[in-house]
Amino acid sequence: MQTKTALCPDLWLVCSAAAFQSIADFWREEAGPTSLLAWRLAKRLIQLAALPDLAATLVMLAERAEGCVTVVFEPLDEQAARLLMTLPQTCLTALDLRVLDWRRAPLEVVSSMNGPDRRVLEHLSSTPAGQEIFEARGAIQHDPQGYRAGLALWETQVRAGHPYAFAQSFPARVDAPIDWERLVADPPLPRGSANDDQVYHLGNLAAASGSDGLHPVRLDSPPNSPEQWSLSWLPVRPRRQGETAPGYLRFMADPRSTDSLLGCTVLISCRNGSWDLGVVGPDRVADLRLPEPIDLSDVNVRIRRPG
Amino acid sequence: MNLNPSLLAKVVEVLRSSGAVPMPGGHGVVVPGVRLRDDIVQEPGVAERCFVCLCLLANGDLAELDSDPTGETARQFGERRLERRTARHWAPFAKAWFDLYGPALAPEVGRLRLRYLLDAMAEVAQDWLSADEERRDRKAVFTEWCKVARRRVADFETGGNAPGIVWEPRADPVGMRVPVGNPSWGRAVVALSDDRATQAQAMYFLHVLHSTLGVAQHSPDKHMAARREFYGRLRAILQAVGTECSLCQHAQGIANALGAMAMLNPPGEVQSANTDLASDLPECFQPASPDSRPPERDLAAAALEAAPLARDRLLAAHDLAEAVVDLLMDPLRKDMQRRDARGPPCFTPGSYSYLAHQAKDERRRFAAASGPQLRSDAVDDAPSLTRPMSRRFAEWMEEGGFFLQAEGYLSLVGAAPSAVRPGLMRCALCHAQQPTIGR
Repeated sequence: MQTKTALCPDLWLVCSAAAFQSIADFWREEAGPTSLLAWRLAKRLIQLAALPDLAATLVMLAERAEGCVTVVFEPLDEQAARLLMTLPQTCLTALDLRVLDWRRAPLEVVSSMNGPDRRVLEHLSSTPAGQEIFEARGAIQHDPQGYRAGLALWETQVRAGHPYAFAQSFPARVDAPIDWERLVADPPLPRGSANDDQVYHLGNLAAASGSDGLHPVRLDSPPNSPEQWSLSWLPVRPRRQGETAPGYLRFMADPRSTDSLLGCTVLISCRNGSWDLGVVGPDRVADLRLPEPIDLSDVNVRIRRPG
Repeated sequence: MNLNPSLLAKVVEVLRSSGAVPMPGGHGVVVPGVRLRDDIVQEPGVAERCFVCLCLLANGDLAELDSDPTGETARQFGERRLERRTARHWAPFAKAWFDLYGPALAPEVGRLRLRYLLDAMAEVAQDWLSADEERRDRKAVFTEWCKVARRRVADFETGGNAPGIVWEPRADPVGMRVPVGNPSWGRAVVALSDDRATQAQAMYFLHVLHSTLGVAQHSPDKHMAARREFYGRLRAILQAVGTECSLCQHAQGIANALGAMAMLNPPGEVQSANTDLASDLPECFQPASPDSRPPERDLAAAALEAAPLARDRLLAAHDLAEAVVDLLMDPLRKDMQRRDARGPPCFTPGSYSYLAHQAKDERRRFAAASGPQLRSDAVDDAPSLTRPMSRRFAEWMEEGGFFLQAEGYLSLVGAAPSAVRPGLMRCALCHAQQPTIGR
C-alpha cells in the first residue's frame, strides 16, 4: 500500500503594503475568481507581514514546522538582508524558507502564487504519473475541492499558454491531464468508530470567555470529563489593531492525563465549522492553524480513541 | 474609453524618470535597477525610445503614411518590414512594463496599464517632436500612426489567450535561500579575499549574467569554438571601461580572469580549473543551468558582511553582470561600433548567434525528451516570461532587423540612435566620457 504524505500549504509573507495591494487587487482579478491565487488570498496563505514582526512570525512558524515559506520584500535591501541574516538557525532548518525582491521578479512572484505548492511541483517534475501521494492538511484539508479546482485551472492555463515550458518542467505529465483528485487526496477519516467518541460541550464556558478572536482564550475540560485537558485559541499578532488574524486552535492534555489521551484524535465543532486537530502526540498537543478566528461560543470537543 | 488625466500625468512622470522604455518584441528592460543608476547614461534617451517603441507598434505604417519623394525610405522599410506582433510577442513587453512600472502603478492603472503606457509614451514623444523644427513637421504623421498602435494594443488586451501566457510554469521554486550557516559562503569569503578573487568574481559574474538571461552556461574550462565570439566581445567590453563610475572599477580584473579561461583560448593551450574552484562555493558561483535564477544581490552581499573587501568584489561583479545584460537586451544600444569605429566595443550580430544557438539547442533537447506531441511551432517559438534571452529575440538581434528599423525611424525625424561624439572615447558600459580607455 502506498504511503501518503501530508501536504501543508505553502505560505507567502509579503512585506510591502503596495505589493500586497497589487496582488490582492489587480492580480486576483487577472487570475480569476477560482484561481489558486484567489484561493490562497481567501485562505490567508498570502499575507501582508510587518517587517518589524517578521522575525517573530518566522520563529513562530518554525516552532510549528509550517513547511514552505516565501518572504517577498520590496525592496530586499541591506536592511532586509541584515534582518534575515540574524534569524535563528532553527528558522532555517525547520522552514523551507526562500526570499526574494518584488521589484526584481514581480511576475514570477504572482505566477508562483498561482501555481501548485512547492512540494507538488517537485513531485510533478520528478515522479512518473500515477504515483500520487499527497494528503491534504491545513487550509487544503478544509477546502480540498477549492484547492484542486485552482490546480486544474492552472494546468489548463499553462498548457494553453506555455506548452513547451510545461513539457520541459513536467515531462512525465505531457500526455495526459493530471489527476488532481488522486494527487491531493482528502484527509483520512479518523480511526475508530464514531459511536466510541466522547463528546464534551463547552458552550457555557466558551460564551463566558467573551472571545473576540484577537486575544488568547483557554477553555478547560468540563467536570464530566474523566481526563484533564484544555482547548485554547492562540491568535497570531494582527497587523493592525482591530484586524482579524490567523491563529492556532490547540488541544493540550494535562500531564496527569497524558497516557490516556496519547494517540486520541481530537475533533472540534462550533457554529462556523468543524476541524480535525489530528492526533495527540507525545508533546501532549493536537492543534491546527486556522486562517481566521472562529466563534468559540458553542464548542463541542470530540475525542476519538485510537484503534 | 477616456483615461483619467491625473493618472495619465503620473504615468508620464514615472516614464520620464525611469530612463527606460520596454520595446515590443524585445524586452528592452530586464534589470530596471541598472537603468535607474545615476552613473549610467541612457542613449538614446527616454523620448527617442518612446518614439521608436510606438513606431514599431505601428509596424512600418509610418513609412507608408509618410510622403517620401524618393521612395527610398518606403523601400527600406518594405524590405525589412517587421512581422505583425501578436499577443505572444506582446507578452514579454507587458512583462517588462510590469517589471518596470508595475510596483509603482499596477494597483492604480490595473488592467488598463498598457493603454496608459501607450498614451504616456505618445505624450512624451509628441513633446520631443515639438521641441525641434525638423521633427515638428512629422507630428501629424506620428499622430495618425499612434492610432494604429492603440488599435493593436486594444487587440492585445482583448486577446483570449493573453491571461494564460502570464502563468508560466516553473518546476523550481522562486526566491533564494537565506545563506546563514552554509559553510560554502565561508569559503566564498576566503576565495574572494585571496589571490583567487578575480577568478571567483568572474565565476559569480558569469552565473549572474547567464541566469538573468535565462540561458545555460557551459563550463569555462572547455574550449568551444562556437562561443568564442560571444565571450570575446564580452571580454572586450569589460576591458574597454573607464574608471569614472563605481560599476567599472572591477571590470578589468574580471576581464583578465575571463582571458585566462580555457574557453577563450585555442584548444589545448590553456588549462583552467574554474569549475573546480566554484564547486566548493555557493551555487551562484557555479555554471548556471537554464533554470537557475539570479541570486538576490543584497542578500548575497549580506552573507559576506564580515568581510567588506569580499563583499565589495561580489557586489561589483553582480552590478557588472546586470549592466552587461542590459546592454545585451537593449536593441537600441547595439552595433554602435559598426557605425563609429571610435566608439566603445559592443556586442555584434555574431555574439547573438551563440545565444540563439544555446536557446535552440535547449528547445531541441526538451522537444526530443517530451515526445512527438510538442515537436511543433509551439516548441520552437514559445516566448518565455522568465527567460528573457529567447531564441527568437537572439535571432532577431543577430539579423539586425530591429536596430535597422529603429535607426530608420529615428533618421526620419533627424535623430540618431546614439550620439557618440567624434574624438571622445566612451566607457562601453556606462558611456561616461573617458580621457583614456584601456584596450
